[in-house]
Amino acid sequence: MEDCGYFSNLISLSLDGQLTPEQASALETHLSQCPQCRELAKQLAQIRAELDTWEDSEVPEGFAQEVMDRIRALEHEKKVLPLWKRPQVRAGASLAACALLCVGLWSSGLLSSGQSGYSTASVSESIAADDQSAADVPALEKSREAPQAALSAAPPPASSTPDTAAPAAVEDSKSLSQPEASEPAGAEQPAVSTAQQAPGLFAQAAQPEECGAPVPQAFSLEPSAPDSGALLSSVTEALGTEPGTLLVLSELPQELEDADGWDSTQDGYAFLVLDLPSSDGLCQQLAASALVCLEQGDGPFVVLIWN
Amino acid sequence: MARCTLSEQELVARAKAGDQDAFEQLVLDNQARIYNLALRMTGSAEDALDLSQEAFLNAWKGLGSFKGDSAFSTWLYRLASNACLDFLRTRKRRQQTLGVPLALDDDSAPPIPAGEELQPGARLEQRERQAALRRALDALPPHHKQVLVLRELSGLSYQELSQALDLDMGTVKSRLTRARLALKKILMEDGNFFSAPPSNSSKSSKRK
Repeated sequence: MEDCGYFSNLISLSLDGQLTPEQASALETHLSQCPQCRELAKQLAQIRAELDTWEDSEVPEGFAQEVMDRIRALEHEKKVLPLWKRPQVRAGASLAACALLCVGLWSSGLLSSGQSGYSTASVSESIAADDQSAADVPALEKSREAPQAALSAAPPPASSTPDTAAPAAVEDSKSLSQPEASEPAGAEQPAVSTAQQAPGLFAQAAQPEECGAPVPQAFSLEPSAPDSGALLSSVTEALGTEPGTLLVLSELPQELEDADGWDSTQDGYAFLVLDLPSSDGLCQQLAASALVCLEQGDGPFVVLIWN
Repeated sequence: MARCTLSEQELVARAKAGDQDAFEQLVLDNQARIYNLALRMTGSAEDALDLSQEAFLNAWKGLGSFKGDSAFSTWLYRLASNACLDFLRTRKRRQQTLGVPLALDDDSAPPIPAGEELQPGARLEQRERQAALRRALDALPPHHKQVLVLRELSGLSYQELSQALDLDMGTVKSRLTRARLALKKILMEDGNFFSAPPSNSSKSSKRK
């Protein structure tokens, strides 16, 4: 007695024209001998015939319009809130608590009349919320930070940030790429000077300690500096264990970009665990070009993209 | 808008770069497919609207992760059908907790093809068969419903199914078979499908 389970599979395939000639022939032979499978074939064909009569329903009016409205709102929100989602404000044990503290400082004195009416509540909500759009923000921030790096050198940040933030609110959403394109030179400077000027800065941030007093100073830091403490805790959370080494890189060699196993943290940073000892040539090379290099001891070797 | 002549690839490339107009064209090109997928999976017009719009929003946010190794529509089908799957599982849990069976939403019934001369009573029988099939589809486990809707109603090929469901070809085939057998079993228990005369279309099989 032949295996009807095998033939039920062939019957299913036959509905979609997926049989090889050999299979088709074998099926035909079997059906001529097996009333149960004949019945099954008939029933499945009837179901298929019925389903074929189902036509598509009309898409409700304004479907696309509503989708695009939500996208426009999303993109607009990202443009007027860059400072709030900056990594510096994420430092510390509690993202939400820190965000609220920073929101308090921001709304108390720094928010100029140039801003559209974003309430404190909605801002902290959007920071604390597990919104995927937050993942996109670091990319946008970099483009904002470039012009700001030049500004923060002289005037106090309190006055510089509203200036750049206000025009951002007015910008058309399509010109997203413009700041990046026009400030490549500017973008270089913060990264280099950060690495050189402030080892103390990193040492401070590297201890995953709380924000507290440093928060007002956060606005005076080079805006493009990755916040090591925050990144470390994000990676730890995503991995389930503390990395032995964490490298924050702005660029990767091609072979790493194509590697399997890229993961991302909750806040949207892409990272990769390298199954290599830290003494390995590649690891040493990466460490040398890293924006941040945290050595914790034993544990996974992790590279994280910062761009 | 002079965008109609742009290929899907071109539109996707532009959308990835932040071009919202390009993305809007992609929405227009794919909205019928995705909305109907959600409709057939959830059986509810209201839920289908939410889920399909949400799928496009997530597609926008996640554009960076689309690498072009499948058609854009296939990728959309994947996003949307998985969202529907999650929705169905949550809904099922809720139903079980409340002990209330979900009534099928008539708004989501597939339109009966018009224009055919039907004998008296035949249209009623057609409605009954359709209703029986809708009930049966609704009673399927979510992952069976997903593969059946994608194959039978959305019309995805086996290759596209493999990409949308992230399954190898062998698994696609066996899952389809099991889903069809499960559906048949439910219809037999229902009693209103196989006992009714065949629908009045040229593709129908003859009665015994």
